[in-house]
Amino acid sequence: MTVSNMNEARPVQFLLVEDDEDHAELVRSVLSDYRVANLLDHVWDGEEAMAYLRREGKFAGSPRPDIILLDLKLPRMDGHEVLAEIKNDPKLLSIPVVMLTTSDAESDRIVAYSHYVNSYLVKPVDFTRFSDLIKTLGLYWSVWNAPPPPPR
Amino acid sequence: MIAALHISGDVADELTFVKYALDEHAIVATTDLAGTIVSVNAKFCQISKFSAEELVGQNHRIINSGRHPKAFFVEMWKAISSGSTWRGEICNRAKDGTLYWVDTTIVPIRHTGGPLLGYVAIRADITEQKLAQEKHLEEVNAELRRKNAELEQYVHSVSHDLKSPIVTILGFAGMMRKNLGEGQMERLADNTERIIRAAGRMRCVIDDLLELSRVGRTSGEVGDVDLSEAARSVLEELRERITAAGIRVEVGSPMPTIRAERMRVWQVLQNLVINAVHYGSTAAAPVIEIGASRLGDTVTLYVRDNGKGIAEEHHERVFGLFQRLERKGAGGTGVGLAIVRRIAETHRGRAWVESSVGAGSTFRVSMRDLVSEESADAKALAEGNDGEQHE
Repeated sequence: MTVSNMNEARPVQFLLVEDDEDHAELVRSVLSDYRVANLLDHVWDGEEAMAYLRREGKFAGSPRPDIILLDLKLPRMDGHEVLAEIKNDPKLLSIPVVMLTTSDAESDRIVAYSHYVNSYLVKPVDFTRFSDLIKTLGLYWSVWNAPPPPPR
Repeated sequence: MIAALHISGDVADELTFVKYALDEHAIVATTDLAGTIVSVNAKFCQISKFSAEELVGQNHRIINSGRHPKAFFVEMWKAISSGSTWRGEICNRAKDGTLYWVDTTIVPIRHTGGPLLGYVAIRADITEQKLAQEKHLEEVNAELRRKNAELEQYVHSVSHDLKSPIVTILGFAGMMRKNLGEGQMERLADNTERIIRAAGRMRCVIDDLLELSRVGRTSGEVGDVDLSEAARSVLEELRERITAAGIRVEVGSPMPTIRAERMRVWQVLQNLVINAVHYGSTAAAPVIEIGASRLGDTVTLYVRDNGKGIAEEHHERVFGLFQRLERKGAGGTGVGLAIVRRIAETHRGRAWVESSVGAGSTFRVSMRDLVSEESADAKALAEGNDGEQHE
């Protein structure tokens, strides 16, 4: 990876689905500290996430995210339901979905992978590790990962 | 029976009578020493669905169901071939393949001092009891599996909801340490607030969980609880919040009394009213109605708000542990309605919600009068001679 490659990296659009304002703020501030992602939209729950992705209502002008960071425990419609709906939608299924959750329960991982989650990350309790994770995550998905071609 | 035998006085007649009675009652077969069937009675044919001709001369294995391990019959043969009577429950297979259970006594026969001649097996049909037992066992198993799943879900929820504020606390504390090292002070106040809030939330979660775990375990004081009075005291305690939200409260009257744990009734009302204050206050002119009625030994109370209502697909979810319909921090800990439901269940009732989007919500809780052993005795006394008849 050379500096010129880095500079060529186009801005990556993250969609963060997170009902905990503090956790959202942690992700936001670590990402902005490392300047790996300059675009991050945040929605509060599963229903909002689907409205955002389908550009319904107040999300009519929302961009197509390059990567979705999805919390598991969400009010109304939880992360598993959101994931299943995304992966069942031909227009949305190519968007990489990363579970970002406090749950390391095997049952949750089984369900998530059976719904074709692209990655499953457990929020580290320790802040240094938390920021390492978010930094690596940002780098991986915005610089290293080759995104799917835009849908026709 | 014995008297009748004496009247006849004839041994041959006596045996005929006993055999007649036995055949009426039991499934009887005799076999030789190798287990070959020598004779069967009508009941044997009836239950095994074989005719006597099909059975006599066949080895007894003809009705073996294969449901018992080999060792079971090895033990049986060991006993009877040494001259001991054997008793046990056997599952056999009828001609049409159906299984039946028989309580079986096998008696080796011999003349006094002589060698064994064969065996007499006397059986009683216990298929129904066995099936009932198996069914009961299955039900208990299903209940255990359900409880296990519930417990697993419980541990899962608890670990998540306690871990979540720890991520926040350590996260912002770590950020503060980093900021302090870099001499950046502008975010300190905000970060401190977040840490304090997260710790407070954690305390609430722990308090609520402890409360939930107490429901149905402690045996608090059971008495006649006047629901009007309970509602009044709950409203009094929450008056500040209700006034601040500009909510009008209407309490139906008269409200019945219920025989219950005072503290639990109070908790039900408190949680439902807090819920209504929180989710109902979005209306232009918010109103909370409280009422209750009695039917037989069941009291059903309701708390109604005219807030934004709950879509049907969430009607069950709201009673789940740590389930909120609003994002974290906006609502409670997500334990309140779980407590309400558990209290209803410990009072042999249930809790549910009637609501649709835009039409407000009505939470209903049914509870049956608790009957303590003491009051059951008192009831029996009050009903007159019942007590004597039982003695």
